[in-house]
Amino acid sequence: MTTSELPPTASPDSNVNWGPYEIRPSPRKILWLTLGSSVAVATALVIPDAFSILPGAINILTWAMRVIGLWCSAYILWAAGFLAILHMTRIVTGGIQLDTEGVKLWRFGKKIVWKEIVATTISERKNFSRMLLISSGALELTLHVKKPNGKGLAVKKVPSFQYAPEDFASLVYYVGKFAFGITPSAVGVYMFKSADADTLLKASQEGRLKRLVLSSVITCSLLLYLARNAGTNYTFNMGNVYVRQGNYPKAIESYTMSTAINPFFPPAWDRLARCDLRAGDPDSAVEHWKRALQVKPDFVESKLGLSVIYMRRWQLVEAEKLIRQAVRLAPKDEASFINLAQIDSLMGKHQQALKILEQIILQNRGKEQARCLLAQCYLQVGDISNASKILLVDKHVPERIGAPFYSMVRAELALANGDLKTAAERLQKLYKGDKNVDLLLDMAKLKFAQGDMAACESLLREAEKKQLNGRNIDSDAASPFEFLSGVFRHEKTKNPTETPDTVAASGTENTPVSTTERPPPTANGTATTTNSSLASGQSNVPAPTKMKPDVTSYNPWISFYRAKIGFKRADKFEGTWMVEQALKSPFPDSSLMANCAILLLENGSTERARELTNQALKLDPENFFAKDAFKKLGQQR
Amino acid sequence: MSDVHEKSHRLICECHGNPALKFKHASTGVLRTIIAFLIPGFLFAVVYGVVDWFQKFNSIQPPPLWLPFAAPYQQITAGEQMSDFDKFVDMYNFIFPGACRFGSGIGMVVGGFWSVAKVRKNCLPEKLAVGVVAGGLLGSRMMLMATSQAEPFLVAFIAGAIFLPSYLLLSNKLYAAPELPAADIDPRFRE
Repeated sequence: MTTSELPPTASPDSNVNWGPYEIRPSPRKILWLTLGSSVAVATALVIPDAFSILPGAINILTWAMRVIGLWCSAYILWAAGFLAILHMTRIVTGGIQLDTEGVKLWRFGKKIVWKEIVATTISERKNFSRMLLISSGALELTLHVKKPNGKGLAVKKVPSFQYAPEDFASLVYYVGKFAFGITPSAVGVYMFKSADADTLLKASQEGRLKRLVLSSVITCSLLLYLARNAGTNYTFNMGNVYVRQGNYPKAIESYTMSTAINPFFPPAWDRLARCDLRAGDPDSAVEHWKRALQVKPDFVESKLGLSVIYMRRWQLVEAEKLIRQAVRLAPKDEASFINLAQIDSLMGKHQQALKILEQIILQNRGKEQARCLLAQCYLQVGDISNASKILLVDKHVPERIGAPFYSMVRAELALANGDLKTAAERLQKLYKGDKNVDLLLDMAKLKFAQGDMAACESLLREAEKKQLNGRNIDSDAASPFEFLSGVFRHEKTKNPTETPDTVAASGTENTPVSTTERPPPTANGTATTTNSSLASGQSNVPAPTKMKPDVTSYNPWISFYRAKIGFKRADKFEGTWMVEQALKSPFPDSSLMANCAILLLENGSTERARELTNQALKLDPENFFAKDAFKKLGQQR
Repeated sequence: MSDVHEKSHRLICECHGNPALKFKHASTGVLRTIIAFLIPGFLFAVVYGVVDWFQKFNSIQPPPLWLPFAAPYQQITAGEQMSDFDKFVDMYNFIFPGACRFGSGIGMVVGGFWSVAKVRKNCLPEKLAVGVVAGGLLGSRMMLMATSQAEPFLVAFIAGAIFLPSYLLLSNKLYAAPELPAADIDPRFRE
């Protein structure tokens, strides 16, 4: 199958119709060059890495084994990559072609006419040969060619290390023969035309200086690059060690150092944000995750991390945007889908969340987080039976004392079952650690169930404070909690004799409350008010003015529990009013509607309860709370 | 390039004007290309598995070797069933787990380039057949290193299967120049 080669069309001595001929890089030489250069490159690359993996190595054997692994990995990657590049270059550029007119150094190159070549030099690259383990020694043929404008010389270099020695020798031979009309006695000769000696000397001196400067710049840049990488990786690995030890302040220090050395290293920003969050500083976490996304806008982990904070702060629109981007970027990533289920659940799309979680579990049976979240979603739609099955029966969700999310969902199940003792035990343990909004709300539910209204209200206030933490709010603007209290006080003062039903009937459209209103300021200029002042119904309360906080991005369950407190205190006006505030949430939630309906029904607002039940059933016919509300309405009738 | 060189190249192979021999040359080339993909693929997979073991020595998560997996390795998008492509990737991941997958990719790419480089001087039918197969496999395998989705994989396969034979076809004449006649060199120079 291999084609035989044609004999030369004419003798070179005749100089008539000779060629074209070509010499091509030898695959064997390319292979040896690759293998030799890989040793040098892998060794150079592994030196900073050997330093940077020191923190993670528990003993010298581990360190040595990992260094060997890194060296082999670098060797294979460089060898394969460089070999592929050289072969592609060989295919694309072709070989050096010679004929009676001149020489073409590569396929698309301009032909150098023989008479334009004023000198050729052969230099030995001893250091280069030693460095790349080239046993036969690397040579470099330099052609000094007259520039087209006649000013100065252009230099064309042909290194020998890609060619078979006999091919390279042939090239030198024929260049001498055609360009200078002489037969060189050996490969290592200088050939030049005496008339160009001065120009040649000058060009040679310039070339030497340029080479020296270029070599120095490359060496310095390479050293700086390797040193920076070593520093970045070392501090990053130190941070990882501290995280494993649970020492977050030290980990933050290390990651901060890593980002200072190399601000364009997104994993360090991401880990730094995670440590900030664990150390209880969500504001810094947000800032650092944003930095990570600035450096790498498609960094899925950072998008998901940031979305968690937004979800906690009830900034659901922003969170949803990030999660959907993450899902699009990593459609096979389980964590993205868990967050998607979570945001769907928070936005009231419970059936969608359940579907996603069931699918995740179907694909991966060992994921505890997805199972716990599924149980929580079942609890949110009032399906205690399925939640119990997952948490208590499913062997894939073992009891884990140290897992906060598992403990929280178990506590929620206990609350739903009315087992206040178990719920209290679990929640009290969690309350000693990181107090997030979900935990505070669960604690508030527990306190409400225990009849401790003051503690419940205090926890709701704390939950709201946590939720608003880090949002860009003017210092003189009131929080939605205080705002609602203020507006409620104003409403109650205005209509002291109004019944709950009339307030409810007025609905969200007729109330003068808007999300852009400000609560009445107190004497010291802040918008604070106590529950007792609410209940007492003070007179001469001014109407609310403009305010900054967006009540629509306010967790409606806080208002719902405040409504429960109001009803519990036999203040129907407050209860009904707070229910309406909860229902102002821009994310229609069947569970919230149904729970509000049940609450209103228990407190005599039948018509509004019926309306809400219908809405809840329309939104999610499978919702257990909605079904329960419907049943209760029927019983009352 | 002279006409003699061009004409000579077309006339040289013995399969010229013999369709059966052309087919034989093409099929042999394809077979050799597939072998060139598979052998380095497996070899590099094993090597990279060992390298990974070194790199993760005494680590919390040891590298996965050839162990049976209880669940599908290829996670699929929630709400969707596994497509044929997902099953193919799943099987591939099962054969080459963890770092072995990357190693197999390197091996296959190396083998692919080697097989293409070997057909430089061979006849056109063999070049085209090898170009289609190697181009498709190279393109798709390289894309698999970036993403495990069906669409990019197919696009890369088709692009490779079109580009490489086209390049080999277009550059066919350029390879016709023979090597320098070393026999003409003065023997004293050699010494």
